[in-house]
Amino acid sequence: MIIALACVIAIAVIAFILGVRAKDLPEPEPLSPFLHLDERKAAIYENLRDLQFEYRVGKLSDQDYQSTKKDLQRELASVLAEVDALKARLNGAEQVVVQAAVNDFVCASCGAKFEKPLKFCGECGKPMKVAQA
Amino acid sequence: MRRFKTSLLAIVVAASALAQTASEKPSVDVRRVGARLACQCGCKDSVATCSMLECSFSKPAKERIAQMQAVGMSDEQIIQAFVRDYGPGIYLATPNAWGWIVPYASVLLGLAMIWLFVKRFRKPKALAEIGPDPALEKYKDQIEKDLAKLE
Amino acid sequence: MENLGSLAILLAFCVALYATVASVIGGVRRKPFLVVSGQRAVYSVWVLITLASGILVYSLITGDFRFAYVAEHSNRSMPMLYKFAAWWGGQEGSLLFWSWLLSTYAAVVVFTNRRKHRDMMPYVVGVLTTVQAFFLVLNNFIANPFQMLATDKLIVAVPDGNGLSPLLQYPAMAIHPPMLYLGYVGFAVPFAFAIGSLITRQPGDGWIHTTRRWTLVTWLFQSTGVLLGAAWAYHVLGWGGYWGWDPVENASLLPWLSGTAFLHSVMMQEKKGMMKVWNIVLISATFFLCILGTFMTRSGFVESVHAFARSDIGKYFVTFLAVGIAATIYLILDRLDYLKSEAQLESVISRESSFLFNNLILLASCFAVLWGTLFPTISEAVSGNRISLDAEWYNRLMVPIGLFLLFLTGVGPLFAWRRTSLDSLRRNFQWPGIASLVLVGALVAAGVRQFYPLISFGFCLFVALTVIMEFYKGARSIAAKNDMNLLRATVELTHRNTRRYGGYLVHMGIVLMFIGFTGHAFNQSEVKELNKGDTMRVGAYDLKMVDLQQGENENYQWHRATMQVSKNGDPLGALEPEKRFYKASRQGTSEVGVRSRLNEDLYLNFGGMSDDNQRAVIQAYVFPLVSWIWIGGLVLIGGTLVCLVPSKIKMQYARTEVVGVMKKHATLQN
Repeated sequence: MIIALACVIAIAVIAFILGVRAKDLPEPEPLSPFLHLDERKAAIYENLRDLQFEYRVGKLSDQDYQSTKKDLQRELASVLAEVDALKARLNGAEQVVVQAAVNDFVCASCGAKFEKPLKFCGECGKPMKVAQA
Repeated sequence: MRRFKTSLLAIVVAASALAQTASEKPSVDVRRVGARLACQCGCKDSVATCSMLECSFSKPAKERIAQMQAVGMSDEQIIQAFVRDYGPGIYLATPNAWGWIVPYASVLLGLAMIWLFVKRFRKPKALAEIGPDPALEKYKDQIEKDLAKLE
Repeated sequence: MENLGSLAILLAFCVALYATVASVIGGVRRKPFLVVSGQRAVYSVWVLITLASGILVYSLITGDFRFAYVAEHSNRSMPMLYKFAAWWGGQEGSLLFWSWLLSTYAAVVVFTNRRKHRDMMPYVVGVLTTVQAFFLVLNNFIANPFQMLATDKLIVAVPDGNGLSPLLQYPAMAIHPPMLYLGYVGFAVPFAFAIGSLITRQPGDGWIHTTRRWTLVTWLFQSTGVLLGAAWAYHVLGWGGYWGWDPVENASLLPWLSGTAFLHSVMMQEKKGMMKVWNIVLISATFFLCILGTFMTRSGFVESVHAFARSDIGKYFVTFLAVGIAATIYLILDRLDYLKSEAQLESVISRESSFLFNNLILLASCFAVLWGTLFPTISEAVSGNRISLDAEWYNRLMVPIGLFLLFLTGVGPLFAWRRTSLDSLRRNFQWPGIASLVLVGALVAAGVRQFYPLISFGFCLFVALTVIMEFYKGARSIAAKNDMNLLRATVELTHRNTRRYGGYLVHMGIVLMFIGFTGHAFNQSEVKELNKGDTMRVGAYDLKMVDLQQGENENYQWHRATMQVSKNGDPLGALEPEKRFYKASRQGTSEVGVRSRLNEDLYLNFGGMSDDNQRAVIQAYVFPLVSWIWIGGLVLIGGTLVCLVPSKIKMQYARTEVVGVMKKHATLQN
């Protein structure tokens, strides 16, 4: 009796472990390549929100508030730039081959280069004439 | 400061020691000697700190210490008498300097590590104060828009 | 039955090994079939260990005294609850309990993350099942709970067992070990995620976000376990203390301290992307301290190196610890580039620095306790002389450290992230600082002259005020903006950021506990032999023994005194301290009589009968403020629960990416 029960348990366990069918595989979770950047962005926004709240509540001096806010915005900008760079790399992976030479968008007035077409130059603010759409 | 320490000590030691003595608290003298003798009841405390009620070892041991002190034996002699009866394993040495030095040294080491950390990761002030950041200008609108959504 | 139990844990061991191998190979080679098979192995391990535990518990409850374990830790006359609690009452059973908890956790982790973290999960499972396999080695080959009593190859039963240690036959004690074990075992999960993320070089702090809740719950269990242990010592041991710096107590405190440090320093990584190496080190240290704690309580190591040499189990623990720590250190050193800090310190006077000091103090106290616990053993090994470190040594070392920690609890949250100017500091420090100085002055005027209690009360008020101000300022701002009353605004405020305000509540709990600890300095005690009708006096209380009875039931013999209590002539009712002597284990315990009030406890212990067996020895104590420790503990638990409630405000803009990009990315990958 005990032996039979033991055999049943052992066989059941082995069958359960090894009997993985194709339909048992979990649907792969859609994995955003931006996940970690999104998380960092969210963290910085949260920091900004906390900062604003502490300032409003009166825990911070003006000077601390301004300079920390500036720092946070600067960090945010660098994360956003990273997101754009990654976007461009993923999006442009195919186009890059075609237009390898002309993938820089140059401002006619100040000469700043950008990775994507802009209506206005990010450096000098003047309107940019962009050839490609 | 000393009174607080003594009272802390007194309550912990006394509370545990009291638990086994019948009618009297063990005197400070008994505790002093008892702390140098390992209780043999199976606990890992000393005779003075064994917290077992009606302990078969520490209770008579304390009475014996009190008797020996009553006839004028010194601490050394009492301890030697116990060592003679129960073997050298019963003797508990006083904590030597290492017991004190190591924890404080670890605090100092930690402070040194903090100092190194601060030195290594301190942002040079000049860098933080440079003028408008081109990247920031570029994303300013988006940031402002998102910030407005915050609350 | 016993064969089935043995088979179950042996099979569980094999399956756990398979799970490790399958998951790791599946992870390296990217074979989803193997990974899923490894995950199913985790579920199987749980089923098998549950089966084994069920058999053990069944034989404990039915009193199958053929089992050596049952004969040792149970008997017929024990109530049902303690028969069940005997599962974790002894060496073999508690190790099986450890295994069972770990397998439960692992199964939960696998189930909740079955569709997430595709890269990382195989390694997480690998780490968890490695630990599982180690404990199953102990269950199978070192401390097998299914050993039978036999004479001449014939299994025999003894008529009755020894029973659970009477000190453990107390309701709080029945749940104290499971709480601690839930904590001990739980830290394996964040550790496994940290290692998994390190091996696969995950971008971002995924492991922290995934295990944040988990770590908090584990920490909650650990805190509850430590507190229950203190409450048990206070109510059962009869020496009137709640903490004796016993090695077993210390073993539970060590991972709590490092875990607390981890909970704080993890914020540095979440907010600023700093201290990544440090956080991995901390969670690993916490996990290994948990293993060390289990080892210390299970091997007899701290009692003596000689006891350690006799006990087999110690060698396995030491080997596991050595290999585990070495592997972790190697992995961290190998991945240092991946753990590079993303940010820098803007200013030395900032929240960041306060976290550094918080970590320093928590770890220093952790190290001091560890050192004190191991020092007798180390010195015995080095010089041959055993050294006794008594409570005085710990108190002398820990009281200043504890006070500094209390100070940081209040000061830390007042510093702003990144930089704090003198102006900001003044805004936050001024009023709490002045108020605490006034309090200290008033106490001095009232005649309190002890240095540490003055400091402690001052800091307590300071921290309490900063916490209250934090709530008040926030609530006032919300109340003004949304037109609510202050109470609703406080709830709203807490709900908006549960982690932060729950954290403040935890700090408040710590303050209340420190008030209780400080009361220690003003304890009073008195011992007297009393006969019926005799009186004694302790503090402001007059005690009169009105009755002295004795009797016995099938489990124990007892003596009970009925003490009439009055204060300044006002009768306050009766207390009945009792002394029990358990027959099966020939051990005595105390059921103390306690009159708990917020200002002080009157604590009566029946010390025993006098030598001529005529009078009862009554130990009477007055413990000022001791109730605040338990109140603080409840506040701490409540605060942690608040932290676990999801915050109301979610980050809406977190995932704002272009769908087209995703598709392209997906096709690119193939």
